[in-house]
Amino acid sequence: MGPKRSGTSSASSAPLPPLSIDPTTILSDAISFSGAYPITIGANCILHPRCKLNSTEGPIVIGSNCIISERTQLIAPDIDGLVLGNYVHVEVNCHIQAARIGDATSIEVGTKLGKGSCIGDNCTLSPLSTILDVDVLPAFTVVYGENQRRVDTSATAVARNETMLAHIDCLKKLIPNKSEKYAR
Amino acid sequence: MSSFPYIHISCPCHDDRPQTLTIDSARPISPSKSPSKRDFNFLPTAPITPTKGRSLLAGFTPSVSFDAGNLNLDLDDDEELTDEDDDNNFDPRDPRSAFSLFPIENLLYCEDCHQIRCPRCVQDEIVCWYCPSCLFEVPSSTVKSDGNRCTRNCYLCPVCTALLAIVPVHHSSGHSGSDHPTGPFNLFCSHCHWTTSDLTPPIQLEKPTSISAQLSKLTHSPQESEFIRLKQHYAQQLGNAQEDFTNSPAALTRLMGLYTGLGSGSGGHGGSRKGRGVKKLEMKEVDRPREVSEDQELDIIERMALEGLDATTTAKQRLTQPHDPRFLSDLTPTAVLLRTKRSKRCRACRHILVKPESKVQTTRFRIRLVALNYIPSLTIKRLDSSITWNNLTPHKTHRFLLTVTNPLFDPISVSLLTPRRTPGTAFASRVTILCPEFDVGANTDVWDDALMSTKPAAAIPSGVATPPVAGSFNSFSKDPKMSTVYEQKRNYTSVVIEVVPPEIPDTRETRIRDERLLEIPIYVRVEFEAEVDRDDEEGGGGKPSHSGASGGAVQRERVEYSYWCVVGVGRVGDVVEGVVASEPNTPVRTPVGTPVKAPRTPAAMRTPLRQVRS
Repeated sequence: MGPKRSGTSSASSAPLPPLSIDPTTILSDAISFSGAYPITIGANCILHPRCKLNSTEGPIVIGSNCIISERTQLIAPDIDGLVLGNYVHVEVNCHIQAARIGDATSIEVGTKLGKGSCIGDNCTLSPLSTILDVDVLPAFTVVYGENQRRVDTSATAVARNETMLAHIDCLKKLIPNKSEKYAR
Repeated sequence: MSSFPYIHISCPCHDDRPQTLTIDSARPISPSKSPSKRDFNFLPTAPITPTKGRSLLAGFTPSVSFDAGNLNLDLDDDEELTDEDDDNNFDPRDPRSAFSLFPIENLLYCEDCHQIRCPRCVQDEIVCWYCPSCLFEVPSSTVKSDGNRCTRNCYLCPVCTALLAIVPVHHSSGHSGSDHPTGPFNLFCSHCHWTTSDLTPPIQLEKPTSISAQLSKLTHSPQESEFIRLKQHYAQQLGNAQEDFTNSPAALTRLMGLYTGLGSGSGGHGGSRKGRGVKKLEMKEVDRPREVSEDQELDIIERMALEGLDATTTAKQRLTQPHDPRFLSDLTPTAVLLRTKRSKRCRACRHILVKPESKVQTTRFRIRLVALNYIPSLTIKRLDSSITWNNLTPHKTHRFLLTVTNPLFDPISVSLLTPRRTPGTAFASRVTILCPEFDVGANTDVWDDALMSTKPAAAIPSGVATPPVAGSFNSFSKDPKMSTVYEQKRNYTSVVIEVVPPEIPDTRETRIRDERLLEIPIYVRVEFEAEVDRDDEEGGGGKPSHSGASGGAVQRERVEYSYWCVVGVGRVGDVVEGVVASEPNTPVRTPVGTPVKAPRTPAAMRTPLRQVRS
């Protein structure tokens, strides 16, 4: 039996999946880990309360300097798992069943990524956009409006990574770290 | 199509003549002009107004109007009218009706005319112009000279229409540049990451301020320069013309010539006219068809072949740009359109109905006479939760709860009148309001309700307990519970409305009109006693002294008004097995032509303050 996890929305009796989490990462209260495959989270990440990571179908790997927001579901689509790169920002209420999400990609509020889709590096998905199953988004793609796409030539990737770090620094001061709750 | 249920109120401007509200305490209010007398068994008791003839022509007589000057009754005239009853009903399916039906939230109320005012019968006046992005007020003179777009730093992304931000082109990672970012600058869309560097040639600005001035130097389309040329030309023409008309002795004859033929019949460009001043009224170049050079077109085709369709603009993007760009790289930032704050006037009496605070930052209103605060609002609910609004069962009796909420501080008595069968369609549904006359309490303090509940008898409005008038609602007396109101609370009363839709073929595919749409017109008449300013009564003219019954310091008068509203109940669905056509168990009123005793109208019974004159 895992430790007592009050407030998680998953069944409290279910055992935690094998977790390998960098000590610099902040896990907030009431994160739901479920499944049996391992979940790996890199350094300097922020996981907001009530985000859900489901590794029933495969492993989940999250790179460093990522933010996973509230009510977002990360679901591994298959045995190959879900891999997030570094500097990935996943906003509130997303439903993600992608296979790969590249570095420095920003996924805005309420986005749905279809099963097995691949998102390249430095992409931006504007709020409520949808990516179909097994779709591949090349690097530097912006999905905006009614799922229209364009290539980002603004060369602001470096600047955005810096803002991301500042954002993480700020969140680290605000969100209490409850990593010990998820430790065995 | 709006989702069901909906309630729309018909603005009186639907009718040609103004609908009158009467303040007259001395005369009985008779329902003789109600939508369908036959249906409600109301005999024409009293006053016939001169509006009758006209209303017959107009096909509508929803207004109940009493004029002290017209006491001469003409009953024969009224007898005729009974045959025309069906014409008096408001037909929600009439194409004209669509123009006057509004949700109550969209309506205003003129306190001086005592009338509902819809967006069609108010006059808008612009209070101020402002930019919605920087909230900066723009004087109207600037709007006239510089156009209706923000002339400061507000620009929209031409690709996705989000607001553009001003960012330095070269990202400074250190803290040194953070305080005073150094140029050049870009306009950057944080939504789709479009920047002005994407353009060919790229636009880079030197300063982060006064963007408009910098952009206008950098971008210029042939259309804009043509417009400027045209404007200059006509300004010159205007100058010439003024000179002509003021100084020249031939001006008058020329002016007369404009109207008395002299080749002006063609109304053309003045080519046939002679005399000075007419030689160049229009700019000739404008009329010429635009030349399309083949080279240019070939260039475009070649570019499209090279860059693909993804590089071209969408129709939406093209329409927001003045110069009709074909490629994404030709799009230029568009300045934010200005918005206005408007005050609204009643067209009839010129009184202001809505006046916003002139300061841009505040969202308050100085005057705001919305109809919601003056006329009772109706809402409809299902009494039986198994009813689906979009799929009403034919031949089944559907019961709905119609709630009338009183926004006024005086208790009101309400009459709801509806045609027995929904008008305007071959497939009429049977409609019955089980308690068409009732009282609604005043919109008092919420705590008054709690206090009132301790004193039982006095608190309940007199009309509630009253059984329906014998004769007209005879059949209901078997089941007295159904004939009374369903629910009564502080300032609202609910009554049951029964609807039996017929079997209707689905014509949505084949016809414009959806025959299955079930809309019930309801005529709402409201009466109440209100304190009235004596000053307003000047126009009433020669009325005898009112309301002797009140006799106190406070002048109270009987106010009555009425309006049509349309309840969109839902759509009738397909026939369900087992539900067969039958007469409803609550029979509709007395048959047509049955002589009915002149009713003491329930309203009359309930209003002891009114003196009934015979």
